[in-house]
Amino acid sequence: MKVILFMLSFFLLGFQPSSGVQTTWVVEAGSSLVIDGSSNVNTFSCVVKKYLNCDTLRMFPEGRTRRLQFKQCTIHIDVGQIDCRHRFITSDLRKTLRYPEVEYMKIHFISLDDPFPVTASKRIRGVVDIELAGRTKRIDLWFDVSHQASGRLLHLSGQKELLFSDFKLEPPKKMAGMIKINDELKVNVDLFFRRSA
Amino acid sequence: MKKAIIAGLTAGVVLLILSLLLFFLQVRYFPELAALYWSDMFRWSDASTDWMFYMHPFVVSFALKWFWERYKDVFSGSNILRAFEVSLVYGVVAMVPVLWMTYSAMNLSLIMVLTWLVYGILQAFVAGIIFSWLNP
Repeated sequence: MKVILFMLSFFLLGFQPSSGVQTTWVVEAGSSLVIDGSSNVNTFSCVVKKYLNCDTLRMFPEGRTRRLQFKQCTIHIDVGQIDCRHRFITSDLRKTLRYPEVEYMKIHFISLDDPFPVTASKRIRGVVDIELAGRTKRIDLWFDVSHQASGRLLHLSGQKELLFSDFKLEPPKKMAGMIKINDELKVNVDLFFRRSA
Repeated sequence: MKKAIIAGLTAGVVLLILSLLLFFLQVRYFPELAALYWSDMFRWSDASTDWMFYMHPFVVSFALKWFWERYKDVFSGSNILRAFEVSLVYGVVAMVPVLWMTYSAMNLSLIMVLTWLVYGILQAFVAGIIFSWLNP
């Protein structure tokens, strides 16, 4: 059910793994953002059909903590491209997120624990600012890390539960509140990075 | 007059409870039916109109009360039978034509419109029982 989020050409990610060797990583097609939610009568799953704006992600190691810091690293997700596979829930969700007045949901990457060396059960913490409907919340996002294709692909998979109310948003309601979308949302992020030459 | 107002208010309160109960049961046991309300046909819920939704049992109640006072002598038999007749008259005269037009003009499912018909008849039946009990 994942839809390609970052259909971008080059999403340069320059960072230094523990080895100290400068490498460049590119976000692969297949990276995705899925938002799962529910109402008091059904569940829904929203994907982003198309990733329009992609900024360059640049990471560099912060010496003492080995945490990777980002600079100028914002992913813009076009709220108009969110698709919940239910026409009216999609339109109500976009309206809740104040689209088209606020066109983008933004994810600002702040820092990430060093993913190297990759081990089977490794989990790393990322810090991101999520900007929704013009309001920003800083959250910790835990990623499972895995290597694929002989170390050329790095997969970061994270989940986070958010609340509409975290962003001072009121979930959509119908019939005087008798039918309503629940406050909780689960955001699933899957990022695939390919080691570039 | 006082008796009529008390009867109208009593029926309104009971109908409000009935509407909340039926909606709760619909959400609980027929969620796919309740999900049909996720449609542009239905207003985005906000305080400016929500109060009208919760007032509707009182509108129905006082309308039926007026009807009851005017035609109660036409209905004979036990309270339940009189209430049943009132509800059928209300359903056939007031609801069927309006719902017929609603279904023909708006993009709504037939099952949803039929639930409204049943709901309206049930409301009239409950109000009829209260009126025949309080103002026979």
